[in-house]
Amino acid sequence: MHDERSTFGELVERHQKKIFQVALSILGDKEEALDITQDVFIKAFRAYNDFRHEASTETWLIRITINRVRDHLRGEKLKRLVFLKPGKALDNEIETVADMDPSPHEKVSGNQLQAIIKEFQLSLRGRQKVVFALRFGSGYTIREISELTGMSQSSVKTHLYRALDKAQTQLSEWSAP
Amino acid sequence: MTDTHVSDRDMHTFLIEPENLADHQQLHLEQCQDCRTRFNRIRGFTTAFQTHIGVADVDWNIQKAKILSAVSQTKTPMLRWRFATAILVSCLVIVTALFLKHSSVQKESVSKIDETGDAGSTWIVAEEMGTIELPQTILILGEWEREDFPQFLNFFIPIEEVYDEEKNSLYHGIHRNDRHRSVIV
Repeated sequence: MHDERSTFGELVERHQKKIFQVALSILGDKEEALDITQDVFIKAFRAYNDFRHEASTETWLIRITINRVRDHLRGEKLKRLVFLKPGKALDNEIETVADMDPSPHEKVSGNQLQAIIKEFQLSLRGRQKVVFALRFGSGYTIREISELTGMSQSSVKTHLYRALDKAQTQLSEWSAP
Repeated sequence: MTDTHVSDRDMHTFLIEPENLADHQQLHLEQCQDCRTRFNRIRGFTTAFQTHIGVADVDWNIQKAKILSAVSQTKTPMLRWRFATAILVSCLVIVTALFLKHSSVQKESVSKIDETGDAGSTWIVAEEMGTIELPQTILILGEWEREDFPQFLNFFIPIEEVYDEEKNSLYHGIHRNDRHRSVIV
């Protein structure tokens, strides 16, 4: 029993950052991402004996993360529908980030960019959100995203194009005089 | 350099699958200031998105301790198996006990029929012949065997005459339609 927990401790140490990063890139909320990370490891611990090692441990854990995040997003959507709870206010979520200016051509300030990103994340729908986060937040390839989400590669691309269209629209709105 | 500017869609292609952007468009992107500015804006946005994700300040040792603490409060897979096995065994014991009790009750009722029945006069048999296990309410039939039995039964239940060709005899059948079972007297 002790060995089992010790091994699992190593697993947590090795993968917790990645899982948190994926959850954060999809949800955009640090506390929610930390909760999800904890849930993922609890689920993983319960299911570890059933894990067939057909995929790498990281892939397995990221799949659990994506499913858990999807459940969370569905729950949030339902809460909003039932209680008419508005989305989180952007102003409360903005954190100070150094060196956010992406290019010399982009003249928006770091905080403005933060706000755009936050607004953008909220505007994305479930699958777009997941796919965009995995591609541009965590750097997975199209093929890897397809494996992780169970979606076809063409479907992954379609969602990415739509998400980038939204980003483009939002950037245009911000830069318009 | 071609005069056609690179569309937003092509810029997105360059971000998503750079290998699929045509050479002349890549060349245009390199040489056209306007297109490059537009491209840098959207690429800058995706880079900023990644940076935004990477800035969260988390104490990973504390997080690991929290996770392991939460995990230790959950049932381990082995304990879950033991729990499931215990539940299964308990269910089996209960079902077996109920079955044994039921069969002993049935034996009692069969023996009661034997006790109350008067050999040589009236037998209660199934359509396929042989002794049967009847509900307790039918046991009273044994006490009326000396009377005009079909008439007595007819008072309560419709009686149907059944002719047995093999034995060349007439039986009075009581059809219990609710159970799709006939009892011949």
